[in-house]
Amino acid sequence: MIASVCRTGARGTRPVKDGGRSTPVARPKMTEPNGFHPELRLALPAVPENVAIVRHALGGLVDVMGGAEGVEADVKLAVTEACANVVVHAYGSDGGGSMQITAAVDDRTLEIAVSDEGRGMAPHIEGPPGHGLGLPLIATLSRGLELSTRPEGGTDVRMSFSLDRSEGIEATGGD
Amino acid sequence: MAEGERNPEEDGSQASGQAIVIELAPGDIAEVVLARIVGILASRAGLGVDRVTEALALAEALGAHSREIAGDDHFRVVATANNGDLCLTIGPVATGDAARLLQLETHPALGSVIERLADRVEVADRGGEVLELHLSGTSKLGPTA
Repeated sequence: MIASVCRTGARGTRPVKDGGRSTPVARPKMTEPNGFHPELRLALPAVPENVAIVRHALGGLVDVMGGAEGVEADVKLAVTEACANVVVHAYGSDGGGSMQITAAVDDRTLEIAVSDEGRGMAPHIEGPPGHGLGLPLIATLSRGLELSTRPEGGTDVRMSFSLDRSEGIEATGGD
Repeated sequence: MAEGERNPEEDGSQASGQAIVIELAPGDIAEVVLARIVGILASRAGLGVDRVTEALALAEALGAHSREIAGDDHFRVVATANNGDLCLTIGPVATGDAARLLQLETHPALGSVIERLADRVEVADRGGEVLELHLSGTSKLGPTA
């Protein structure tokens, strides 16, 4: 199952990035089987305290890549939401699962994937219901968001960010 | 399992237990991101503030030489933080590179900075050569002024 979310807002509706890539940056590449070329890859237990690790790691990556003002905050908030979804929903009351985070930079676009081996995104009766704000928030903060559930189990949340411009909510001056 | 194949349970590539598997592009990214992660883990392990600072210095030293060790591949570290102990396992690396990494960051008075900062240093064979570093609660450099 693949679900795509288009961002809507003041800048208009934009389709989810189609995965097409321009010329790669001159940087050593770690190539994944799916063609993803991550600069960063983390695999860690899906527990609340590890969300902070992902948050700081991605913040460091944006910092090194020279992200524009606001981009680091957008990325940190979006990955926090995505990882929190894994921690709270992916493994139910059993817990004990893991999450994987990959991040790649290509042509000033940062692509991040947050993956788990959990029970997917089908409705679940048990477990905390959540507030339903996480994915819309990620969609607002990112340039594109793609959700997919693997047949064998597990969910992938892929989001992309421009390193040159924050997609987050802009402050408006009063008249 | 085929000969030479990695065992995820042994090498931590699937985040078994509390292990965190970190794979980073070598260079600036490894230096900055590894330090951020290690800083959090050192705090989580309950190390004192002096020791956390030394863990950060250690992570920066590792990251600074990541390209010399990893080449065009990723720089791989498996980290575990337990009560009073932070363990960093670097690798697998090419044979001889674990010992070489220790000598890449040296100080005229201190010798190998990595050996100086870590409580225990071990070069081990875990389906490939790894460098295992342990940091515990006592500063190796003495109290700071």
